[in-house]
Amino acid sequence: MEINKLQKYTAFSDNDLIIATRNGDNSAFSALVQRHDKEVFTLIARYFQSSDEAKDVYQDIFIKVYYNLKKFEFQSEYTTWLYRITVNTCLTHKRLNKNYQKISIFNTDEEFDDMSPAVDRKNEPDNQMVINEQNAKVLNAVNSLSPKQKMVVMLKHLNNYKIKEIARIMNCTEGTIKKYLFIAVGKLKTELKNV
Amino acid sequence: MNHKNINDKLILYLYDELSPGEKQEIAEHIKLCSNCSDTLAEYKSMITLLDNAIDNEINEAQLNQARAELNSAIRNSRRKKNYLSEIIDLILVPSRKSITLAYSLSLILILFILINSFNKPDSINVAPSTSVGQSEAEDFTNVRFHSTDFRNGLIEISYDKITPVRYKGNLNNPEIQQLLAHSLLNSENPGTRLKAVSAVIPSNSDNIIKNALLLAARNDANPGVRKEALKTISKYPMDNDIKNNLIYILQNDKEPGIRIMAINLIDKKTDEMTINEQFINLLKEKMNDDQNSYIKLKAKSILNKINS
Repeated sequence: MEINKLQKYTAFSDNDLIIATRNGDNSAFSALVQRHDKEVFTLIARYFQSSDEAKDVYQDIFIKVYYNLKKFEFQSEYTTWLYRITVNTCLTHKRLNKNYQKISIFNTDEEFDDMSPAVDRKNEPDNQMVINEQNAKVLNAVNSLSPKQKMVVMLKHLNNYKIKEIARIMNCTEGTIKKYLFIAVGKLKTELKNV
Repeated sequence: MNHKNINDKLILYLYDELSPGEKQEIAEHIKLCSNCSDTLAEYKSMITLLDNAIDNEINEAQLNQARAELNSAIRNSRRKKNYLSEIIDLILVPSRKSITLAYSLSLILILFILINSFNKPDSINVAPSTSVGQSEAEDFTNVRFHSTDFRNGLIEISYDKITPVRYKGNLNNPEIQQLLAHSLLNSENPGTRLKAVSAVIPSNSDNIIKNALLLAARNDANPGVRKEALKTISKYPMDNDIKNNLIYILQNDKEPGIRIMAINLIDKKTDEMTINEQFINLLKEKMNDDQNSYIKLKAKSILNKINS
């Protein structure tokens, strides 16, 4: 997608872009995608900790967005709707791929180096190595949570969503989200006691 | 403060999910309660670890690749959707194209019906009769032309006229018994012949049935039919016709079971039979040469009976 083409949409609101897309403007859809896809990609990349899966899920999400834009009724924010699709797609994908391989993003294999900031491991200072190992342990502990608990933790820590917003996205009550959060934090506190 | 729910409130306090009043309450409590203060510190440490681990840095190249793949996928699905939409529109949405298509198909259908209606078969199809004992229509088969010169307006043909009949009634009906006898001798289906022979009722007043049974017992290709015919014949009083046929069967039937039936019948009705030299010689021959030991013994027994 050429950046020049999309610059004209900078002043458009999300709703304007949705209307333009419905009217057949495919560039408007591209602009809408690019406006929020980085956060979405970050969430799914952290959630699955696999670049291939993240790309597959990214495509699933935005194809669903493309074909369901006509059903969007402007009763909520577009981002809430987008994240609802994202969360549901992640949870479905997780359910279908129960045996997905859990690999830390800090693995030294080439593929997974892509997921983390470029680091020169040979000349890495010792304290950075410790931090990386620490992060790996934390993420492993997060991976041991149930899919919904993990999603709540991700939305909290990555996107800084309030419980109210997470409840809207995950289409359940605030009480349920709190329950997921309390259980998750309790488990993580136990797992990460010695970290 | 109630320590029962404090744990959850500490978590919400750290995540800034409490109301101002509740926040104030917690803040004051932890100043006074070392346990809660320690717990809060543990949670805070853990949340910090989570914040550090779950960072929002990503590889831009990966994102751009995902965007490119998405564009390609949407373009492809739009193309497929267009073909499908075109087909659906052609069928459902009235347009010059779809109307032309509809007219063409209708014309083809009409032509097909007309062609088929002109190609009627020669034979006259007759619906099968459904009423009892009555025919509603006739069937013609086996049409043969005896002259092919029709210039003088004349024709010579022969044909078989078949009237379909369905009968449901008394088995003793003489016509039906004759029909059964006819079926026994002429039906090509051995099953039909078997059913016919089983349904035939022995009648002294009707030689046609008796003769049919005798012929079937001697000549039917199916051993089952021959056996049943013989069984029915056994219900008749012995006479020369039956005796001669039994002798014929005893001499010629290849099935030992049927020869056994014949010799048993002879044994049973020896007193009713006219014994002559020819008959005795047959029995002697059977006693000596028959392949079946039972028949040999039976022939010997009959001879002894005659001689005694």
